Amino acid sequence: MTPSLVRRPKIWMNVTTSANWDRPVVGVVRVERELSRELKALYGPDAFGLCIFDGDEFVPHSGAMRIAKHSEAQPLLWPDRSRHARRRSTFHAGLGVAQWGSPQPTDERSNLRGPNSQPKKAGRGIVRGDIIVSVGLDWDHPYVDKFQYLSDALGIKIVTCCYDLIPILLPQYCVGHVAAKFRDYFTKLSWSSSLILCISQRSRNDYIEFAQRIGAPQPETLVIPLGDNVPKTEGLRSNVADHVSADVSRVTEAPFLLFVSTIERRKNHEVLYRAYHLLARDGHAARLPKLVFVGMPAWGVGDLLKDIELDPLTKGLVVQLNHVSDADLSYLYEKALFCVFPSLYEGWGLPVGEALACGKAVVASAQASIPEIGGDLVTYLDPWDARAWADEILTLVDNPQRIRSMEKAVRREYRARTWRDTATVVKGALDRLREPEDVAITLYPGYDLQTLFGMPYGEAIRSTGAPGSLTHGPYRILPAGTYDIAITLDKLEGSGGRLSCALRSAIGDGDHAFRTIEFDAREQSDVVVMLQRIQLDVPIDDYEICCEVTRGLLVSIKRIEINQVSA
Amino acid sequence: MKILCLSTYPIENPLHGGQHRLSNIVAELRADGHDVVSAGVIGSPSYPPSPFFVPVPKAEALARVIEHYFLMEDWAISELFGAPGEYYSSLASRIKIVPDVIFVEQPWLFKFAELFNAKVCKGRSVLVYGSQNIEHRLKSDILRRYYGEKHVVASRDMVQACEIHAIRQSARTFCVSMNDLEWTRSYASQPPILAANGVIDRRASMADVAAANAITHGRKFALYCASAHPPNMDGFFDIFGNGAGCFPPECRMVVAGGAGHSIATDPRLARTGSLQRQFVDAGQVSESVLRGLLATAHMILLPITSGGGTNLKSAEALWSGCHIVATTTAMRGFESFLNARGVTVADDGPAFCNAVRRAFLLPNLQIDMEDRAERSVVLWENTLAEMVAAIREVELIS
Repeated sequence: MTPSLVRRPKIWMNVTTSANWDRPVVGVVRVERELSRELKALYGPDAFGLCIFDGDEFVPHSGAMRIAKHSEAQPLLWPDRSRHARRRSTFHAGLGVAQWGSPQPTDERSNLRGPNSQPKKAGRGIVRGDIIVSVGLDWDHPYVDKFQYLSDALGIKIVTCCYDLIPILLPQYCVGHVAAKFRDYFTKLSWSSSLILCISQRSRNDYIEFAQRIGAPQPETLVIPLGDNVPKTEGLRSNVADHVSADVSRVTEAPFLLFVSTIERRKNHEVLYRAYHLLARDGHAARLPKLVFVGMPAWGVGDLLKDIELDPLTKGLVVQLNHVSDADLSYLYEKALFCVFPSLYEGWGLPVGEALACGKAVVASAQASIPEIGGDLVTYLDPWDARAWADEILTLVDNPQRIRSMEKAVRREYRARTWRDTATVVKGALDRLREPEDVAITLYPGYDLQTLFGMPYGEAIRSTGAPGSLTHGPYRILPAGTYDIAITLDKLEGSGGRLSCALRSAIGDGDHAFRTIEFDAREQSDVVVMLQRIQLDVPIDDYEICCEVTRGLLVSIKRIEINQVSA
Repeated sequence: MKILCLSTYPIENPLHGGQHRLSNIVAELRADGHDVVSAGVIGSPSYPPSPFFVPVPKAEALARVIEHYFLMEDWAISELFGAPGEYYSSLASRIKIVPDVIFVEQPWLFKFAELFNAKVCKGRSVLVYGSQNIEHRLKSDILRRYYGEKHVVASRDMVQACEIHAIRQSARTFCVSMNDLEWTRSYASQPPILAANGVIDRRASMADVAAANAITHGRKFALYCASAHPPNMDGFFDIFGNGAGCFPPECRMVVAGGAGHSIATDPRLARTGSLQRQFVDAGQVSESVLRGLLATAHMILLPITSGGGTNLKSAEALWSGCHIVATTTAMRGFESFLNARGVTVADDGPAFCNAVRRAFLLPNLQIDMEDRAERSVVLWENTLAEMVAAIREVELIS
């Protein structure tokens, strides 16, 4: 094979989530889009492409994304300030794309199927050795079930993402009984991924501990920094204040504390409300800044919001905003007295990074990943201790000099992370995965091949005395190269006859290697049949190992090893 | 000699471990030339009728001897059949021999045996006791899942008294494990004898394998053979209940025996995540299917976390030559195989699951002739040899 024919593995970004997303952007969608954009810039179009899962297979995708119907952000996981998502376009699944990789059989074992079984086809576009990067809302998509097949049968490397294990670790803060679903999801990732990207050291640790606990394999993991630079308001014709909404303008007329987060139980808005209640009860209401929650109410906070609404002590002190725009949010960060983040658990905790990136003082809980963001720059409190939050808020309100001192340290020491940083770290890992590897395949006929006249017997296929095809399949991709194939078998004493072995493709039309062996009935033998130096000038996408026996020959085909000896 | 074997289950078509054990004891005694009759009480409605067995007493009768008889039926049977009256008479009338030896498997019919010996055999029969467990410990473990401590302790004491009486009054006691033997020793008049659980030498035909393939669809699988005995399900969930990511996606967890249905319908299975999708309930399988499953299993799992005695499924696993992942409890009685090739012992969920994953990624275990010879001690003919010899000589010791 000439060097010019050697194709470097290509990176395919699975953008199924973004391509089908027609609501305000949430954090996972933002990661998928930002990482796609930055990786494309780093790799260029020849080495990088987008793909989507269409029907039952991944197909290349043009890049068009659905976008939110509301241009303003509605934070679910993270608030959206995504500028590039403002385009509106229509997603046409599967237009003009290559067919590759037929669906993994969902029926039971293929080697019990009849002779009309369709071979698996590989095709153009995404090929063996290529890498699919999938960081979307994968747990809600059926393609996760395909990853194992893509990896094992087609040699595609799968790179996935662990955002957090909150549904498993803290199911009480999730809707319904989702723990089992996520156990299943992470189990699938464990078995199919070549690399799992983790958005924090905490997420990585949680994943590894989980995998260890349930006995799942542990693929390589990599902690990646998520971009936390608050989008600038460049492009606006005048200053930011001219573009903020009336609600935000009103709120910012007086001092306020800022908490950016979906309003849900895990985020622990409750401790802030209780702290304000305690302070108001102790007679400090008049000195308190407003407490501004930016985020949409989610599940399980109805009673809390009702308490806030009805509590006469805190009435007027707590303000809730949602549907804030990029300009609104940027302005809120700028004007806030300081930021608070009392969350009970986080996979990362982006608003802490955003606040620090804006040079603000931050008081947060020290739960999970949060200290990874702020280090010593953040004041940490027990998220369960409302009195501690009350005391700290009052201390800071009474000591503006201390706030300024904290802000000074933040501006001096905090380095905001960009999405380019994220992509650069990911690229380093992907480049390692792109390194060429020799093919080394071990097939266990009973599990991996099919038979017409034999019988699966555990990992082997045994002949029954009937003449004809003993093995065929597995109909997978074999790249171009030179190969040795070793077929290990037992022959039973008292049976004799001829065994023929072949490497074929195109359902028997392509014959790449062939050998026959005559067995003497008197011997019992352990045999390794070698098919050596098989030259494949082009890849074959449905290779099969065909063994046939003559009547009466009793053999057990135990193992088949395919080794690439040169490219 | 004429030997009467008493039990609370028939043995014609053995399904659970106790039935297999007694069935093989009877077979070995017959092979030694004795005339053996198996008789007793059908202790559960799930057993089929048998000529020398009487039906389980009605609930009202059981309730007369113990108010809360649920899970104490066997002890209630002991009381009902061990005293003169209609129950004693109904069983005694079915026994048409005057035995030289009465072999009582488990303690539940020991008082009956004493009464029968006194009335029918005129005290000339020798009573021997076959212990399958330290019954009072097992009983308290099971009861504790359903009852308060007061009832558990009271019931345990009643069972303990019953089994100590059997040990003390028998000419010989046969124990299933060294652990059981140590406890029994202090109550026995003669040194107790080890009669560990064993296995028959199964050879699978292609028809057996075809029958098994119909269940497993030719996939690589781990096999758990277990009856619906509560500790079998509890052990399964103790090990896998927090999630089982150890099964490769294309592989299966096959459960053969009554435990399969109990596990499949237990809400805890849904909480394990992916295991539910990979779980195959083979149900009560025929001997042919069992031979096929044992021949084609990649690994045998023994997730037993409670109970005494020994698990004859452990012997079955050792003789199968598959990879084995087992708890220490499951390997009780087979301690000499703890470090055998292909055997991994793990006692908590994570360790067990990780061992399962590692075993799945290995090729089939290959047992050579030397290994095979070492493992042959688990065949019934060998595990029961000392028992058979002792019963042969029982007239001398009596």
